[in-house]
Amino acid sequence: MTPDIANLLNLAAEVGKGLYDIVSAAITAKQEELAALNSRLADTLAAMRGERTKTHADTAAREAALRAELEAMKTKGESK
Amino acid sequence: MSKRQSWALMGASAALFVLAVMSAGCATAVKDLKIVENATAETVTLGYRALNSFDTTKVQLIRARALTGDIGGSFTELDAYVDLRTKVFTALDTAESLLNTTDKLIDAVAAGVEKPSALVGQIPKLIQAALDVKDALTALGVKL
Repeated sequence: MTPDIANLLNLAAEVGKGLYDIVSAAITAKQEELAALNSRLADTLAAMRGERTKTHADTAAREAALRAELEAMKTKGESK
Repeated sequence: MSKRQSWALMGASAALFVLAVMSAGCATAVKDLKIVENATAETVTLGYRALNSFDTTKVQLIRARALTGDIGGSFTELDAYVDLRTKVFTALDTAESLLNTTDKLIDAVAAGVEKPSALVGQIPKLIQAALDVKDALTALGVKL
């Protein structure tokens, strides 16, 4: 192998290493970004599920209590 | 660096570059979907909170009406309100269910069980679900 070809190969390897480093850094950054997004999404979904359970339970309890009160008022009114 | 190492590094760089270019499109689509998913989940969470808060006030108002002696009117108002509230719950629960489905679908695509094409159309569905929640709440008199 002539020195020119050897130099060319070394240059190509340097370029390849530079490209490798750039792509690696870009992939790492993307992975970190996606991990942060995943974490935020998991928190949001958990909050949503908690809010769903609470709202269903709260509204059902309020409605039941109000219906009971209204029935009691109605019965009291009818008995007068 | 030996010639073999040079060739190996160049080959690895090229393979990584090709892989990065190929996966970039899919990764961006999943990222966009997750951003929309997060926004929809926040809207649904706010929707549940707003409904819960509104319900407290509404029940108090109906009770106050009953205390004035208008018990029949209170029952009618309560039934009409519960009908509207059910529609809001339907919109909220549908959106919540769609969010759960989307989450499972993303996991299935990541695991290779489903093709990435399965994710196509999820973004418009999520946006529509969020808009349905807003419309249902507006019909009840709640503005998000």
